[in-house]
Amino acid sequence: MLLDLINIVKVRRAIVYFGLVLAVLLLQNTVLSRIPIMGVRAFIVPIAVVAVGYFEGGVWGGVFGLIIGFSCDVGLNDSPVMLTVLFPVIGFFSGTLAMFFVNRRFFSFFFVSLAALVLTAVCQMFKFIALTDTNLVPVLITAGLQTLWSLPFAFAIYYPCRAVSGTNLSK
Amino acid sequence: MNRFKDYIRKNGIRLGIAVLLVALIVGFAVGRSKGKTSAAGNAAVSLSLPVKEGTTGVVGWLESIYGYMFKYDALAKENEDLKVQLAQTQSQLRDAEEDKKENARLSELLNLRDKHENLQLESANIIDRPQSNWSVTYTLSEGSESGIEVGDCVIDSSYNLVGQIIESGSGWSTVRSVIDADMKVGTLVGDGGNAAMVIGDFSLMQKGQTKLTYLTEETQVLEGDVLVTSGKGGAFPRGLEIGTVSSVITEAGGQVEYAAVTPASDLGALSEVFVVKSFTSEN
Repeated sequence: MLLDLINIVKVRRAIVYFGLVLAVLLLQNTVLSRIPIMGVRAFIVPIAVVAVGYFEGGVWGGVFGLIIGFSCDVGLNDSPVMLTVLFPVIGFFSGTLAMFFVNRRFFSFFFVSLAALVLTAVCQMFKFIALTDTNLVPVLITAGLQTLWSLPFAFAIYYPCRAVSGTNLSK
Repeated sequence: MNRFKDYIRKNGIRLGIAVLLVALIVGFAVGRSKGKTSAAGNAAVSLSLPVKEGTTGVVGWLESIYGYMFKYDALAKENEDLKVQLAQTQSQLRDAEEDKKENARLSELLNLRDKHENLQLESANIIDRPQSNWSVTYTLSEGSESGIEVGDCVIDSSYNLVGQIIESGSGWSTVRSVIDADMKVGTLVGDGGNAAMVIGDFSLMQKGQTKLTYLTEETQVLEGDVLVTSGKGGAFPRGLEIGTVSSVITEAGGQVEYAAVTPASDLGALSEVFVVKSFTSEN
């Protein structure tokens, strides 16, 4: 039977993750992108990519990163493919980190998310630093504030994802 | 005869009262019919007034109860109908106001078309304004099926520069705004018409402005100067209004370093734009 070949548990979990990711994208596009604080908007999507990789491994992180990155590139018009390339890398490496190098507690998740946000901001400001003679100060301030405003959402994304994955931290 | 006497003896008083009453009523009626009221009539009416008022009050109260009980549904329905009518009227009013604005825009555009017959325009609506920290772009409702191509210039109904098409697909296209940090437009400055460049600047983009730069030594730039496209390079038609110089930044030596430019088009309020699909140079 064809159904026997399908791992229903994994499919169900993937659907739930899709729902969570969709909720994050919706929050990003409808709420956070409309509320600039000191002229800068939060960008929480990299945290969602880290979360998937963190609890489901590098492959899931990579696949979800690809889908989320593509959605963001289409929606934001900042660059044609930058996030489509960057997010799978972030998803894969956060998964690898969680599997082999760091535990899955919030503290480590917070720092991996911070690294992902910084990396995203660096990539976003790269063309202004490297390709134009733009004044660095406002670019760095924007990148810094974007990272800072996004960080608190690590709380909101970590716990639902941990609950979905069923991760037992007492082991 | 005795029987008559006996009858009168037994019922005389009653009969008398009856005759008196009849006489009073007849007299009262005759008096009323002549427009005059006798003292007895007056007294009778005065006596009956409180009763009448009381009766009227009770009847009114009963009618109101009846109305509440039996006409409530009808009144509620009528109220709902009126609300619907009011909403429809308000909607028609709004539509009329929109039509009026659109009419003004199109009239303006028609005048512009008369003035600039060399432009082939395609109307499009702004369907999305992605909010990013790093760029200012808009998504339009028209794309490659309408002949819109990458590099086409986008203007508003007042012939002000809005931006340039950077992507075009089936049923959509993306415009890079005139204030985006990646935007570059050749311009003519002031009355002298000296050539310079309007180039997007990251920090000015966040303030909704752009930058006038590459100024020659002889170029005089003053606050309030209007900048128009130079038409050089072939990307933009000549004479589109880019914006107005809002502040001038000078170097220590006094030479103008650059100027901040406020776009002529009200970018935040735009809903409809026009893509210049092709144009012939007026020069």
